Amino acid sequence: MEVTADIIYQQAEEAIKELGVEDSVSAERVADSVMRQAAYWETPMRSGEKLIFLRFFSPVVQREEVFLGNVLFNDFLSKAFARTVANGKYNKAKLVANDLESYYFLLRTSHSVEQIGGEFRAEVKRSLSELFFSEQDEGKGIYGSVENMLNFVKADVEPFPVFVMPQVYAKDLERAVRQSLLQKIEKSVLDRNPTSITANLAFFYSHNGTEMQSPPKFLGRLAFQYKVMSSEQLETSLNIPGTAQNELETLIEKESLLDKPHKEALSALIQYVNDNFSTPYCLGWFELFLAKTDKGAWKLDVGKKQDQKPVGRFLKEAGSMSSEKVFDEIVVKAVVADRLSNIDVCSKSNLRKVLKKAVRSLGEKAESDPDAWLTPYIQAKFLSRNEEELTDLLLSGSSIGYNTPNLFGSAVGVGCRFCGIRPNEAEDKNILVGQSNHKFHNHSSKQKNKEEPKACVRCSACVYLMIKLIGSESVGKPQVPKTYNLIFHYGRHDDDEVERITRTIDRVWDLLHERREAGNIRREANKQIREAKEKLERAKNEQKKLELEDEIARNRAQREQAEAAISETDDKTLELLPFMKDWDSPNPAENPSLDVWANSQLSESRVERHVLGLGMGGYRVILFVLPQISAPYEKEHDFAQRRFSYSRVMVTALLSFLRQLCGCDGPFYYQSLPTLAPETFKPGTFYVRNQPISVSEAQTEYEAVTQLAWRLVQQSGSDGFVRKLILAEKLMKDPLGTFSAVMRDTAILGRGKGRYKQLPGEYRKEWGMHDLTGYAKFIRQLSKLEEVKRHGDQR
Amino acid sequence: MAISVDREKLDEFCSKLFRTLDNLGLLPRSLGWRRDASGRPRKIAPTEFEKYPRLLFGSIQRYNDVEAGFREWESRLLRAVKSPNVRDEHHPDLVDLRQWMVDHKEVFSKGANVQHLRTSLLARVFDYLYPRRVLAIAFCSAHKGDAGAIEPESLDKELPNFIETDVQIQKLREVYGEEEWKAIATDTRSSLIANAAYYRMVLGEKETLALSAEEVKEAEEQLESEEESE
Repeated sequence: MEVTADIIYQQAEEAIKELGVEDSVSAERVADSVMRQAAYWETPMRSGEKLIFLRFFSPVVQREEVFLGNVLFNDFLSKAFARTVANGKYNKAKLVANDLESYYFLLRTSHSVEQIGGEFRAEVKRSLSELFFSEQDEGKGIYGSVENMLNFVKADVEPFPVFVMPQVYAKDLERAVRQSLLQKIEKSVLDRNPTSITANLAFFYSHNGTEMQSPPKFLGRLAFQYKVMSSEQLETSLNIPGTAQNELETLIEKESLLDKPHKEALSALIQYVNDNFSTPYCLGWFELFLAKTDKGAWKLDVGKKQDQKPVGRFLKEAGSMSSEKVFDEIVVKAVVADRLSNIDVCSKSNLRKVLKKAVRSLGEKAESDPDAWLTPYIQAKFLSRNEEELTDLLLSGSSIGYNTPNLFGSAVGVGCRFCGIRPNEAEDKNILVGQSNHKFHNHSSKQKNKEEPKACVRCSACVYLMIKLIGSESVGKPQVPKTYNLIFHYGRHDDDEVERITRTIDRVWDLLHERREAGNIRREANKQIREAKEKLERAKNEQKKLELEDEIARNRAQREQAEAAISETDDKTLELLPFMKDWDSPNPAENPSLDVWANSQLSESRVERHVLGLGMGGYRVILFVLPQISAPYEKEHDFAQRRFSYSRVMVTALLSFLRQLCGCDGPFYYQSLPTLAPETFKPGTFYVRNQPISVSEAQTEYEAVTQLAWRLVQQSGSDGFVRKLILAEKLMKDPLGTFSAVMRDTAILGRGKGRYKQLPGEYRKEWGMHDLTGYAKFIRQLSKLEEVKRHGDQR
Repeated sequence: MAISVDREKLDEFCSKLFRTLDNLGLLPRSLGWRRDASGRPRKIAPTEFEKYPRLLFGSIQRYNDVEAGFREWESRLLRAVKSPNVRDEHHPDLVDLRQWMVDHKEVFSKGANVQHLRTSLLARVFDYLYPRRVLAIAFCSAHKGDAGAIEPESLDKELPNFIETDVQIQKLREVYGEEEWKAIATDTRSSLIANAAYYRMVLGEKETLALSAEEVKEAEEQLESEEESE
């Protein structure tokens, strides 16, 4: 791999040639300007034009909450800038080089930087709506989809960052949501409660808090109150039975749990329904509402808390409520919720139709009567800024050459909690800041009111873009942005090759999943065999013994099948990853890199990968967005991920794996910003939290400790992953001390059992002891590790 | 971040200390099993490897003075050596070790160094003893019944041959590398000669070092159940 200066020089040569400005400037000067991060210079040309070298700069905030979004936003800005200079008047422009913050252009033009800046601002303003709501278009720097943002299942916990959007985008937002919802309904197999779809409907179209809190109630109201779809359509989709009036009356009459006032209230209710809704199934709601279990309890009340029992509430409040209210708030809400939670009793095709119909009709209403139907209940949440102001806020901090059009006009009292420099406008919500909302941060001490806004518009928009790409998730009750592992790589890879790498990773995930499934079957079969053997030993009846022997044989066959499947997936894994054949195990429990993948939280999108910027000298910045490590059972959601990202040893194990997968020696970056500077663009280097680690260092030091940790810890899965990771870090910190502790806690010296696995080695009679050469080997390796450190310290 | 300790000095010290203790016969002769007075097999515990080095560190810490601490430890050590010949022969080793420690007393006044020695002691002593004991025992096992095999002249000839031909020993040799292995072979030769009485018993099959695989399994199970009941 060439050094940075050579690559930039080649790029400069090409740009000069393409612009035909060989007489006006040398490649050395251009390359030198890039390396020195020069902002602007111009030189006159014979034709009367001028040759401009300029840097377009947009800062990246390196806070985890906004980092990815900021990177995506900068990509959008850079592409908008490239479009501006390529379109019309500035068509003689060429990008020389770029990193994630700076883009260096050569322009042959007669215009001033101020004019270019004005055009650029107009282009950004024009494209903002597309950025926020359009489907992915990498050519324009637009990533993700609004559909990714609609995976919430509770509407009342601020699940969508609508408060970072100006009011003027309400229509665009509604349109995008409508399209996404229709796609979502079409794609959904409706094999379980469509809570996400109904929550989306309630969030964007409800008129008040009670509708938003209860999507089933809102769905009922759409049919009975707002007439968005007919009540008959809803009844058909929920398979509400066509109960005859006399049947219902008999049922109520015979019901011993209902006393006279209740029966009267029910009669009034039936009268109300007959008068207002004359569908063939309108009385079926009551049959379902009053259904009982075999044990004689109210079916809809079973398993619910005292204050959430619908029939209980009816019995308690029927006398004090109007029939209309009882039907709307108790009967329909409870029956819709119950039918949707038992989705198999519904007619799925009709349900799909009715949901689609609701979305389309709500969309039509939003278009025709925006005051009443355009995102009615969340209207107040929109940002009170117009498009012009938003553009200025988003461009604040960016510069074009020496022109910094949007410098902050006045000093900011308490800055944004992410970037620290812009004024706060967005509130401290979970969907914006994750789980750490309302927690102390440096600026919060200066704010008198805890409820005051905490983030600036630009950072909030970056979070929005991030959620648009990778979605959000519910952690407990609040909806928070999904977290991720972000890896940048500079490499000479074309689109096909990037595709191949990500396909391989997806395939590795599939194989690991298959292996885990087979492993579970084998474990279960082993358990069954063990239990059956125990029973067999105790059994006296011959028939019983035969049955148990059959069971054992059956489970043995199942175990063999599972073992064959494991062996097959191992072979496939080794075939897929040929670089592993010599030295590694395809079993994730013994292989640190594969264990990282095996413990990642899989999602539908798997690996997001994008090529950012326009590349240089064939080198392009490739961005991998990988899912985070899943937490062990009953631990906080980032329990494993936090430990992983703090562990330089583990991160380099993952980066080594990716490096071998892509087969080039371009640098990789984890929690680091790739910049065009010689010290951050070295071949064969991993940058972990901005600290360079050479590949050889990773191989000699880090691999030894991870390999050892993965052989010693017994547990597998996420819990085991964390234990192994902690052991690897301890081994790295104090190799021989930690290994001594491991040896003390292993069944080798003086102990019959220990917490750690014994390294392979059989009992040798001629030595009078177990073969512990494996331990000696690792002590040697760890001593060398100490030696490396010692030399490192001396350096 | 790595703990900052004077590793080169500590490595040198450990090697001197272990060699001295081994010459005085104060380190276990076997790393696996041995029979107690009742004939029951017992696993050699880590404390048996670490006993004397730990006493030394404790003594230095108690006196807060390297020389005073060493002298107290030295007298205790010499009382533990049963053979007067061995005591007299290897006393100069102790004097050398004391001098080295006094010359490098700053190493032992640094808390991180002593702490590191305490925590890493087992790995270090294992690293020293394992190849030497394995080589000695494997050599004796290969020459069972030949009491003359550990005579100096015979050893000069047979030990290098054995090292070259035994597959398992070759594997062990690969782990340590040529330079280190030379020292291991030399130490083993000295140990076989110095502890000839013991190794003659091994050669004459009077010392029943080797347990059968079944005996080991049974003993392991016994040990495990004892630990569980604790």
